[in-house]
Amino acid sequence: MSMAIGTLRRSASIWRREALVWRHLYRTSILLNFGQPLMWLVAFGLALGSYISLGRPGGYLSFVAPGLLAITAMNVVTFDTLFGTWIKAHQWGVYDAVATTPVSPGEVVLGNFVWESTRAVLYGGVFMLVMALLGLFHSPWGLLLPLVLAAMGPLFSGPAMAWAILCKRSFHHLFYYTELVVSPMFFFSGAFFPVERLPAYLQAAIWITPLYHVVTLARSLTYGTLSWSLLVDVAYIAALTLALAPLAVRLLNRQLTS
Amino acid sequence: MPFASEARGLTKTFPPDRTAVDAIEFAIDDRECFGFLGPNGAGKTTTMRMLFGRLRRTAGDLHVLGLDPDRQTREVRCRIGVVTQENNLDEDLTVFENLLVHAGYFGLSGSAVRRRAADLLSFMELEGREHSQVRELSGGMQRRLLVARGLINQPELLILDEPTTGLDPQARLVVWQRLGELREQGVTIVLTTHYMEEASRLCDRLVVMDAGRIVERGTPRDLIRRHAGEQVLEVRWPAGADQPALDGTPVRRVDRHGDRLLVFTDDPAAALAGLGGRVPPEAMLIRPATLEDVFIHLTGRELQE
Repeated sequence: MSMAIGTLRRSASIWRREALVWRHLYRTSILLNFGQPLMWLVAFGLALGSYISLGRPGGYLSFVAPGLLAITAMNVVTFDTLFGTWIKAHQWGVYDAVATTPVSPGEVVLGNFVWESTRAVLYGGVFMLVMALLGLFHSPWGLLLPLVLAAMGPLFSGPAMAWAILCKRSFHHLFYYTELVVSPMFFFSGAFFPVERLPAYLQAAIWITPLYHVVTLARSLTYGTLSWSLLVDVAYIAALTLALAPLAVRLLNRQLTS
Repeated sequence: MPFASEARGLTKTFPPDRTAVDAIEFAIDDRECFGFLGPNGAGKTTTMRMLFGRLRRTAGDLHVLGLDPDRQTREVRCRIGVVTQENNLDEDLTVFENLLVHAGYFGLSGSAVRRRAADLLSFMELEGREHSQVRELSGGMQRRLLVARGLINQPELLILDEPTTGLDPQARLVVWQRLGELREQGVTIVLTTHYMEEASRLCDRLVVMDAGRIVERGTPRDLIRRHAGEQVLEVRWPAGADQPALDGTPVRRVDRHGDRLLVFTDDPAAALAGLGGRVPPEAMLIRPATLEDVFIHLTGRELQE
């Protein structure tokens, strides 16, 4: 019990470090992480959406908004983790300094996970406000969306952290992750179009991506179209998170002890 | 009395087959300042890293404050402070935040910690810089902040890996004074250095490392007496010229380094006479023997700084 409290306290100290850094940079951060999705919402939802008919309430704008919400949170988590971890692990020695203290690599990862959840809820929450103002929520189930956003913290920062730690030799290797992992998910996870009419093999590939399940959950909560199959999405997200998290811990451990 | 740290047969090998630390032994007393002296690559930093569990030893026994740093890493780290050789201050944070966040890593927070952080900043002569960004500080200030940070958890033992490398003389002096005060306060200090003056000034006892081994140990005075004697007569002597015969003069040893002749003697005047009065005054120097002489004698080379 007291061990668990110690772990939580030390993880909280990592969270606090990130929160302090954020406080110095939040103006830039908000502009970068929020301006772009807002433009997408206008470009895809309003402009392109006026040509598209999906036979759902609220038109294409309502359809694409939860997708963009998920993408926003994914990007907010992924880019901060990817570049932040690289700098902390390989550039400024932040984790070298941590490795002189009682904080363990597992606690570093846990603290980061919770911090990324915080960011996802924060930025996603602002996006949700815009959605509410535009009348894009069709059900009170939408109030559960922050839970989905929070789950995205560990889900997307685990693998990004692991990759950043692996990129010891060069900063440029980080872009393999953004181009080969993030970009495909951006286009192929049902955020912009329904996947039902795609060929079966493409549907299967999309099903594997974590973002697809987040988008499915977000959209179902926005429309209030709940079904038991959503439990599969929840289970998949949980399983993937738990499967990938130890990777970051192990790699950081290897980096900080040899 | 228990030792603050004790090592037996301590060895660290890096794959494939580089032995950085080769079966060394040492015992560091409580409340003393203990130095590891040696050229770059001697294994000093590797030894320090094993002390706080950053590196796991390949073989041998190691205890820090009675604990095993490999198995009880967290317990050890709670009770020690570490100032690494690299500047790893958190550049995203201000000076004061660097101390607060580091305290947080130890589970410390609240007004007591803020007070301690403020005290440490004034102790290290950094008051007024609380809200500066780290990169706005000079190199000397950054080093002092690193030392302040290493003290935030009130450590019983402070590890300093080359605390003054790259500092100008004034900045070095400030760090030395503070470390001296810490020792007076009863903090055990373990430091590595390749500055002989630093070792002479600060260390109660030291070991000289070379190529992963400890080649000599003792107090600075003992080492100087044992290996260099009291005085050194330093003479400019053409590199091609024959070594002078100094028979019959009280000379311990004569070393040649390039165009310099080092005559280790307790009676420099007699040694000078032995050189046959061929040395013009501007080409010679009589000085007390230093650790540097010991070091060069033991490791067979000049310091690589």
